[in-house]
Amino acid sequence: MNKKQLPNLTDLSLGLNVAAGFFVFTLIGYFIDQKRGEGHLGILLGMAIGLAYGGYEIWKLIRRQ
Amino acid sequence: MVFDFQNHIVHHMQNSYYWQLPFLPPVALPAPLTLHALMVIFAFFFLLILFCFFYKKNLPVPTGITNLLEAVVVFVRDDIAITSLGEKDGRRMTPLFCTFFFFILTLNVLGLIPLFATATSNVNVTGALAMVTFSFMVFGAIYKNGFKAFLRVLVPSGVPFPVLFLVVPLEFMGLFIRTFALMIRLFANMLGGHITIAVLIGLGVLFFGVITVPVVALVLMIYLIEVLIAFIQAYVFTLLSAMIIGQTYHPDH
Repeated sequence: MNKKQLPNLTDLSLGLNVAAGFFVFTLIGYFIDQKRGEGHLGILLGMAIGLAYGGYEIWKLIRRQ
Repeated sequence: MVFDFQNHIVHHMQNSYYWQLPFLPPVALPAPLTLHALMVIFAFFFLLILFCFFYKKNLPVPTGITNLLEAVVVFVRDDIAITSLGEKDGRRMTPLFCTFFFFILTLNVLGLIPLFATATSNVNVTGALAMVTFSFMVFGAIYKNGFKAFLRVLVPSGVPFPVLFLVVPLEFMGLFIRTFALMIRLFANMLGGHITIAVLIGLGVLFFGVITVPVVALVLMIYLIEVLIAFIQAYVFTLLSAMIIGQTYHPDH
């Protein structure tokens, strides 16, 4: 295996990274909502930031190529 | 007797304070010890015996198990550690990656042997392994390059200044998210394979008759794929650990 092949293998982990990012940020939002005791703003913001993180991961991958 | 399908699957997956052996009453494990912890201890002693007693370092030409182990160690060193971290750091970090590879592989394969359990299908075990990677990713990089240089990991080059206010927090969270993904990947792969096997065997028992024969054949095929997955997941965890540690050790590349 040479050096050029390695990034291709790690790029395969993009899907799980995006999903994990979405999950983690949404979970943080959920806990913020629990702490505040009202509304769903935290979970919605968490989902939005999670989506932004997913987009950022894809942008990084495209930039690397 | 009615076969309890749900309990059969759940019991096969979950950690327990008992070790079920055939034709014998369940063996109660001493209080803090669980079945998965016992498997981790088994794996530890297996690797200790393998490398201390069966690996002959002083052979002029390595043969047998020594040859096999050396081939794997050289593969981990050259194709995983050195490729991800460079010659100097790669050689220095090879023991860590070899430990990851052999330990995860042993735990995965141990779970495929009847009567044993898969410790890597427990999120606490994979979480602990991922935490080791995280420690090297953050504290190892700070130790190697200093705190100031470590902060460069969070600031990607060529990004306009205003965008950095968005990107830097995302990069910071990315450190945790990559570790989290590493933990979930190994856990979910090992758990998923075993659930598939347990469900199919359960179906074979539930609808006992002609259907059992093709179901057993299918289970056997999935079982063989599981052996392959045990190796692949050990490799993937080691490789991705090396890659993400490499990214923080050498932020310029």
